[in-house]
Amino acid sequence: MSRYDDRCLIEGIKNKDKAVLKYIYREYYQSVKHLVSDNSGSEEDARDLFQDVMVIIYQKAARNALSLSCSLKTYLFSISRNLWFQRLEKRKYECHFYNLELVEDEMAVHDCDDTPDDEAMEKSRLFMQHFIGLPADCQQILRLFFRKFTYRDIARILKLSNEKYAKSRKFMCKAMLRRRIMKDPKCKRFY
Amino acid sequence: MEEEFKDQISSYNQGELDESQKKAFEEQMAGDPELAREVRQNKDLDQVLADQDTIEFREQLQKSMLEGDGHPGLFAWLLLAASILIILGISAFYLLRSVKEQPLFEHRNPPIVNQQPEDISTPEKQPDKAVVVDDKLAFSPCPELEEMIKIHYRDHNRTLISPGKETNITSDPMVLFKWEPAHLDTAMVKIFNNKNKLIYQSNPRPANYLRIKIKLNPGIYYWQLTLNRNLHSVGRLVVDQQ
Repeated sequence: MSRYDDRCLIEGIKNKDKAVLKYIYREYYQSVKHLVSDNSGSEEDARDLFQDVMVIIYQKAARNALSLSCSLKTYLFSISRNLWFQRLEKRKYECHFYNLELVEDEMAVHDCDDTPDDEAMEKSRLFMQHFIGLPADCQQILRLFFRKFTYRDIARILKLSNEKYAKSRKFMCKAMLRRRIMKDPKCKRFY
Repeated sequence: MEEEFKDQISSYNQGELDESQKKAFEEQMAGDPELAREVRQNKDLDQVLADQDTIEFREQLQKSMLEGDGHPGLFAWLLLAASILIILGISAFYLLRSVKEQPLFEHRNPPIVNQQPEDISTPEKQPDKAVVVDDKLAFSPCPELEEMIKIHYRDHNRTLISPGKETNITSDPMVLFKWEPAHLDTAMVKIFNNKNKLIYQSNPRPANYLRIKIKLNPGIYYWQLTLNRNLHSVGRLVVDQQ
């Protein structure tokens, strides 16, 4: 028996609830992994795909724009499938449709077809990976800046000497982030 | 100086430059592809960083995935250890009992083992093995299923290309289920023995064809192809004596 119903799961995703995210990962990741591994993908591809699909669901849930005509599991699998085939198409891999296994509600899958711009998703994941690799003080300053805090407030919160220094630090951190991203071979396909 | 320049990129991306500044900056970009690229990169970066909620969500999700992969707790280990002990105990009991009961010399006919058809959609997947009781009347047709073969099911959109309504399996155990037009349909194949007993069922899956590897004892069998949850056709498979 399921521990959460779909409504609770969506609410948990919206609230970034760790227990819910862990539950979804444990319950649903395997089907995404099989989809990817049965269709020319690696474990890393499966993890990236699962994360991206979860982000899509989160963004929709956060905007209260998630109205499902099928179960969350089917919805998640449906987006995973579409996104994965988009990625395969890009890689020009031969894909074997007959390897696919649907988890449930086969007929509902097409109604749930709702896949966003994949390049934006991949960029977002790549940037994010480098962002969390930045020194903690850089992460903090950029978080505050993009949360629309003024340089004065940033200086006060982070106990920096003044606004000017806060601004200078922010530029330095962002430049560091950009440099790291641009050095990443995965970035070449975007620019 | 560099900060001022970066500030200008940022101001341009955020639409904060006035018309004359904007025009001048765009002219500069037109003559400097490297600058244009940097502006685009900064714009993308700003877009991602501006969505701090999504960044936090990704962080939380990554942590949850790592924890989800983590080692089971102490209770889970104890449970696992207890299960292993119980299994070992039961195995030892039956092993000792079978040694005790088995005569020293006995001629036994080898059991007749049928393997269920192997779905070769996933090449590395090993076939499921199942023991099916040997049927002495394996070649007598099943009247109900024979009747079903004659029926033309109403599906105006799909025409079955393969297999034929009567297919003999001899050396090549592959049976190809193919229909036209070759759209992705939710397809499923069932195989029955001549006593109308279901012996194999593939998972329903989006497919434009299915290939099933047949490994069955000689006899008459029947297949049923279901497309998009509707029975499409029924046919006979005869597995010949090798």
